[in-house]
Amino acid sequence: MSVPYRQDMPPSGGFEAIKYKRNLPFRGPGGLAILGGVTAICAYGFYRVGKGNLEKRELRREKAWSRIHLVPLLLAESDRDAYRREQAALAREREIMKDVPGWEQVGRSVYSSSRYRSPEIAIL
Amino acid sequence: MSFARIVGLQPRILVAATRHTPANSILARRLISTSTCAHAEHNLQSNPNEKLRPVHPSATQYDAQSLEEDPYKRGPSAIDKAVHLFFLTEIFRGMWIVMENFFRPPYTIMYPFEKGPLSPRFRGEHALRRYPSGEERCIACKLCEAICPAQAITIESETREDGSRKTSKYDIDMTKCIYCGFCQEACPVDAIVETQNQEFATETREELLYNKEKLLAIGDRAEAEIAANLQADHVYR
Amino acid sequence: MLGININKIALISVIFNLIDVLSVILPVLLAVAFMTIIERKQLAAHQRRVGPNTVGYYGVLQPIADALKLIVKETVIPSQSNKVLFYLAPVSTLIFSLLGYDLWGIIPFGQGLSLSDFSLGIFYTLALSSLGIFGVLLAGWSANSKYAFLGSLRSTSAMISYELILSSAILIVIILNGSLNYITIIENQQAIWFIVPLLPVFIFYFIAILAETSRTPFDLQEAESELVAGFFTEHSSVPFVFFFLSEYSSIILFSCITSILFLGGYNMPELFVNDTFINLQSIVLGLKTCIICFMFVLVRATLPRLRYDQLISLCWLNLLPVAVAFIILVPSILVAFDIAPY
Repeated sequence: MSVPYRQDMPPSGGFEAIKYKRNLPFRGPGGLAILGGVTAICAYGFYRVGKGNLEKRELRREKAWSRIHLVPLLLAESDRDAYRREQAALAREREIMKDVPGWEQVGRSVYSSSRYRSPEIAIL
Repeated sequence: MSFARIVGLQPRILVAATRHTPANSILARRLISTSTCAHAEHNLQSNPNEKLRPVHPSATQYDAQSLEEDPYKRGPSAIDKAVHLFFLTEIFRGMWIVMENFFRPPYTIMYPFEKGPLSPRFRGEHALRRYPSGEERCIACKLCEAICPAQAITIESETREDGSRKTSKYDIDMTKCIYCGFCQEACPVDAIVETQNQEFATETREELLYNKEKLLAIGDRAEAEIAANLQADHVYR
Repeated sequence: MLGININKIALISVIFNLIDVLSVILPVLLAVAFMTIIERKQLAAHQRRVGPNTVGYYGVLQPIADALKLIVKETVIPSQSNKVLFYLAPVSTLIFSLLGYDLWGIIPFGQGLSLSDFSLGIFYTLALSSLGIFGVLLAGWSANSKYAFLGSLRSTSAMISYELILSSAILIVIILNGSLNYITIIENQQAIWFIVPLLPVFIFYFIAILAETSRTPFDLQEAESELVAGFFTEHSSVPFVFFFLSEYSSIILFSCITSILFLGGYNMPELFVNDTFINLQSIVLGLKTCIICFMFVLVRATLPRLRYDQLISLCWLNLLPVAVAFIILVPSILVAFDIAPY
């Protein structure tokens, strides 16, 4: 009513040009810096992986050699045990079968040849 | 509008005019991922003297010694482009912005418990007003009925014993109403108005067929609010 | 007498096996359910909204309300559809991606904490996860709807393409390990997490798992703006729930596999001696899985959907050459410095 009439008009000289183009300037570290950084990280990673793999290899080698060195001992031990068990079994058999007439010689091999054969059954 | 905009305008128009070369339309068709950022930037601060230099030469360019000029001289280097493409730097920048917003408080207004501001011109539920004496304002001129684009208003009139013309029936079908506000614009006596109440949902359709009593009751209840809104808005009417 | 005893023993072992399986599957199902609410809340936070906050405290019971709503809805079957396949598709999708006694059973949750120590673990995972395509294909075909059909075609071609990238990235990890077994892979990362030497590989691996789980930049199969809802347009109620669950369970599964392959699985720096009964290793694995899940949602909050030709050309023209280059580069480094794991 009391406000004077005023037509809304564009600013003199026209509106600003519309920004329709992509405007995303490069920021942050440059290409070489990023590339160098990533390469450095990867190199460190491969260094650690390599150390880990070498250690794994070393552990595997150590395990193999410890087995190799232990085998004679374990074998001797088991042979001794088997011999003891066999003797004990023969003694038991002799004790049980002493009254049976015609019982064959205790502990005689079932084979005719004189060659040594390891027992096929383990006596517990 | 501002002073800076008026001042900064003149060089920009010149730049815009010279940029419209065939080379640009070819460039525009290239993939964004292969385009350089130099041509994509807005050269808002560009010097008018520089404007004749094409940003991206479409043909081989020659320098002062007429030696062939490297067309990629002004753009980012190939390593830059490759690294930014392969390591997705732009995507990571975008994700960083999203991450920043993750830690900021939300804008949400908890609606039924908190309410945002309403304009005095807000068009909600209808009301019929009275004069301070208690007399109904409506004179049954039926302008609102005529202008209603949804034909939601039905009016029947009669002459009272004192000779005044009043409505005997004033129905608004709120399910038809589109809340355009034409009725309150048309009303010569400011009888029908729209209040700021928007929360009048009902469980049945029948409850939304308002009659004169209901409208008058709403008007009586919201008279102070209506008057305040009219007062706030009267300068613009 | 003896027979009864054997039956009893068999029964007890069956029961124990069942308990084993349930103790893996039930937490996974719960995690899948809560992944939906986590995604909604996180998306809301990224977009400065609140998200669902009414059901239970802070809306934590929202998945239960959602499931209830979807289950009581009517199951609509299009009259022109192939009804057997229409039902079979969601079921097969869910089974292949979720009922992962198969998939989750071979994932080690801690030292000695896996249902089965399978020597071909990664192959098994890849094989079973790629079976999920069949559910999508069946769903699109059986619904007899052009939207569903287009969605399933898109999904199939995208998944087949990106499986190439995914398996290439995993192949590089296998080369670095010399083993397909998850436990061996985790133990090999005690030296360093594989994300450090394989940082560029991780980038395209992550892109590939986004496409494999058809998450947002690559979710063309359910591009709402053009295909309504993609291959499950016609599915409603319980079949829809199945698709929904399988999508989220594959997210969790791939997050878990990522954390095993690249983030060191249950490895953690031994800062103190843990002599409590709490298994910190499982918690560490869970945290790493959560980080990858967070990345999934972050990517969804950030990126718009790709166009279809961009999706395919990104795979075949950009990622595949890079993947092949790394398949050549990594063994070369291992051989050149004599640091191969065997």
